[in-house]
Amino acid sequence: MKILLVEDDVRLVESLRPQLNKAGYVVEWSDNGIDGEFMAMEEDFDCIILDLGLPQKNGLDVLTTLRQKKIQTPILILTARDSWQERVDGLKAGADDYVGKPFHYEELLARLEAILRRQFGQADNTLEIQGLVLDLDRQQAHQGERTVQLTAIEFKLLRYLMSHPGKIISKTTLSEHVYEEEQLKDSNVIEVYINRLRHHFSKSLIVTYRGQGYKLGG
Amino acid sequence: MVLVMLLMLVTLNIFIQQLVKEQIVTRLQHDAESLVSFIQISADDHWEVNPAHISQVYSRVRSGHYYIVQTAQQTLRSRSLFDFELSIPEMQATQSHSYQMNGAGEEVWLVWQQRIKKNNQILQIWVAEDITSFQQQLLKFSIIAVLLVTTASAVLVYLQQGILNRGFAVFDLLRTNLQAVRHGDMEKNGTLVPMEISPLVSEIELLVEQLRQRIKRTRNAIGNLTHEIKRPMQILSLYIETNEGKESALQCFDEIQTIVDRELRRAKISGTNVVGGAFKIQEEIPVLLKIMKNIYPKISLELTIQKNLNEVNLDRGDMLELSGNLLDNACKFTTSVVNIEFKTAENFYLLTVEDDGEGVTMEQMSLITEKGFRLDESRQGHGLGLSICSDIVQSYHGELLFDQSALGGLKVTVSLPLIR
Repeated sequence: MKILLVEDDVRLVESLRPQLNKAGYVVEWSDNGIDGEFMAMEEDFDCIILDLGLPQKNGLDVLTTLRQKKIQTPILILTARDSWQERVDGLKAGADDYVGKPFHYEELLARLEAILRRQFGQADNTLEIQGLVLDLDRQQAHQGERTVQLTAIEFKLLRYLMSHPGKIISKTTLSEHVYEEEQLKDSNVIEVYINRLRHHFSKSLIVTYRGQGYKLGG
Repeated sequence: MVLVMLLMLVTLNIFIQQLVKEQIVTRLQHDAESLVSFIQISADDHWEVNPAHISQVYSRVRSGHYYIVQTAQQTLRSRSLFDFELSIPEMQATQSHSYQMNGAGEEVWLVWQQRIKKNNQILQIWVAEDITSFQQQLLKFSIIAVLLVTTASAVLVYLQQGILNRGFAVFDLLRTNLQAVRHGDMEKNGTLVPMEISPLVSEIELLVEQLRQRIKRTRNAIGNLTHEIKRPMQILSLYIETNEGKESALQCFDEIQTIVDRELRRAKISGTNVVGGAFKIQEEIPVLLKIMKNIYPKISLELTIQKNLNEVNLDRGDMLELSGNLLDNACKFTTSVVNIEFKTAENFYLLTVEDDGEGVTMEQMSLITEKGFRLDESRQGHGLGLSICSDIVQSYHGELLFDQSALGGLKVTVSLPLIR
């Protein structure tokens, strides 16, 4: 899962980013409204966490512009302006949820997951395809009686594939949703991790489409 | 205004002059025609005007009516011309025209001249009429008109001045009254206000009162904030120095956050009855419910809005804060269901929020109603939200009632006076 964090408070980003990474999110960061808007339009994110008091372009304006340009990425507003009126305004402008500052980290994560669950039509915090169940909280996969504890990269990869069942996903897309920009790896590394997932569960779980990418389920 | 009237006069003058002249010229034309028909060749082969037919005015000396008929050989002059010597200008071909000229003595003549053919001879007919008396009358008329217009204008200006002065006197009074308000002498206001501006005055009074309330609230909020925040800050600084008790430090932090939040929200209360309907219940409340569902996904929220109740004349921010806090509270303490209802009854808006939680005991209920939540404020939960709600309700001179809900939990009813 790749997240865009648009927030100008560097201290907040520094403490939030490792926590989000730990929960299996790839985080891209922008510290102003203009860049944030540009990134949101150019790249494929699963969710955007948007501050409202941003330099250069106000968060609410960024939100409005994105929705006008038909960017449907889920957006979670994170701001100190948290009166009920402001929350209502945020949702009316097209946000999916609104978390007031100061917040507890668990609260933010829970709301973020709720947004993604709604986005991918899940009922609870697990994904299930062909008898394979992925527990998002514990980053574990269950197949029948067997439980596999996944590494961070394996978890991110499997989560992304299971969130887009039946779709052919290119190595580049997978790489972008698993690694952050500065650590982007050669696509061969993705191949290695795909093979490790196949080894964990079954060879037929992930189908290779030569020159196009991989597909799981569907 | 006077200028415009003078301009109108001048135009009128010119118009009348034109009209009368045209009239005279037409008459002269007729005279010339009859003259032509009465002119004949006599026995001695001379032209003559049949004296039996021609009008008497041409025979009386200086009667103001004259004619000259000129043929190749002779000139026939009316007797009225007497000794006035005049040679009429030659005209080319068969044509006619009229002009004005100075005549005998002081007279001014309007002339009609034409050239015709009779019995194969060319005749120049010249007919004139004195227009001096007409010009004199026109001058008299003009002078009278100018005098009339000037007088009328002067009277009008005077009357208008009077009306304006009386109109502005009202504002003098208003200013005096406002000064009284500024000096804190509220009682004096509203007694001697003219009817025309009393709606304006009552609007200003409302505004002044609201501003007073808002300033009071803001001042209270700042005072409360600074006083109350010092206590947890003191404890926090001790913990940091001794580097112990992380849990208690976090508690202090929560306390600070609660205080800041409470006073910020309190300071934001607008307390305004908006004229023309500002809060769109049907549009705003569903969004609020969506936010609640995000925060409390397991609780089922039921919304009931009385039919035809679309807009209320209350500040949007205050109403969202009020319903948001009541809902938030109910969601925190409920087991599974929260109901919210908007309706009007007699002269009140009624907002009811109830839940199926454990509710509060009778003892607690009397405590919160009597003490106005003071005891509850330090605790997160019912306290904070209800305290803000109480402030908002008070600012609208409304009422906040607590009761046992049929669902089992707490039922909060807000009634706000309906202002039209």
